[in-house]
Amino acid sequence: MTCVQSRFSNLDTIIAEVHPLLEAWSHDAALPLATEDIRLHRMKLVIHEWIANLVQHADFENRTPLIDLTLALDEQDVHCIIEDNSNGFDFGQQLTTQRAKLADEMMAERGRGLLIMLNGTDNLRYFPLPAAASEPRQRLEFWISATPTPCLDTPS
Amino acid sequence: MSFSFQSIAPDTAVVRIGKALDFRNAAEFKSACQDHIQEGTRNFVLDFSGTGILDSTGLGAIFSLYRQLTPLGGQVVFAAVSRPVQVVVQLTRTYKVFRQYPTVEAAHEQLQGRTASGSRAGAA
Repeated sequence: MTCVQSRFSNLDTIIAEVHPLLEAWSHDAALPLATEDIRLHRMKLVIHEWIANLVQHADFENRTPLIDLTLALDEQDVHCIIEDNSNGFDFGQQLTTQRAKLADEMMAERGRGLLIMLNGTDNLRYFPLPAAASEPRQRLEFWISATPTPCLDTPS
Repeated sequence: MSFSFQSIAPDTAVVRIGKALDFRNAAEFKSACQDHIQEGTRNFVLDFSGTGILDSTGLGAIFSLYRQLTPLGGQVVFAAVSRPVQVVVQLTRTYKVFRQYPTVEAAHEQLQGRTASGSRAGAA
């Protein structure tokens, strides 16, 4: 198993920093995923959606944001952990809200982010870590398997 | 990040999306499309060749464009969809809404056929 890590603290530049990093990791031995490997594209998308969510909605109060990205890869699964020191939110409740909104208005402009994340992963969880020191810590963790997800099959 | 618009018919424009359509530039995309709608564009061919990022906010901006054009008899179609964009299309089942064509030229041909015959063209 290979594992790579990086820390980010600037919300204005994090997206511009993360994508080249993922690109670099996937082009060397750190994260050997082939360009055509669907796991690579799903992983990038889910990480992007989550960071976009943090940039746009997370409440860090007056703390300097600290976002830690960890990726591990074995033959079968991509395992990703993103921890941050925001106040967090109720993922389940927000997901329910998004689902209800899209059921009501299929062409809605907003509200697909968490659903994309859920559909793009084989297992995903979000939870607060036990409070350490003086600030909160939230963890998003997901796995993407080498086994194709049914919804990625050719559309009928 | 900016988008490139090219008129290929009086009511049809190709939008070259470039590297990304996401929360950072979705408002710019909507505003630019709005300008073209006001100038009479009704059909938009979104060229995703070379696009590495399409996120939920970017997709939302496309839905906004679609909602605006549908009552006007216009269309939004996708062309030269890159692998990362295809993943988003599949995960959101957006292929049910936006027709996809292998190239901008193929999309243009189908749109022209639709205009000439007054019926919907077949999807790629």
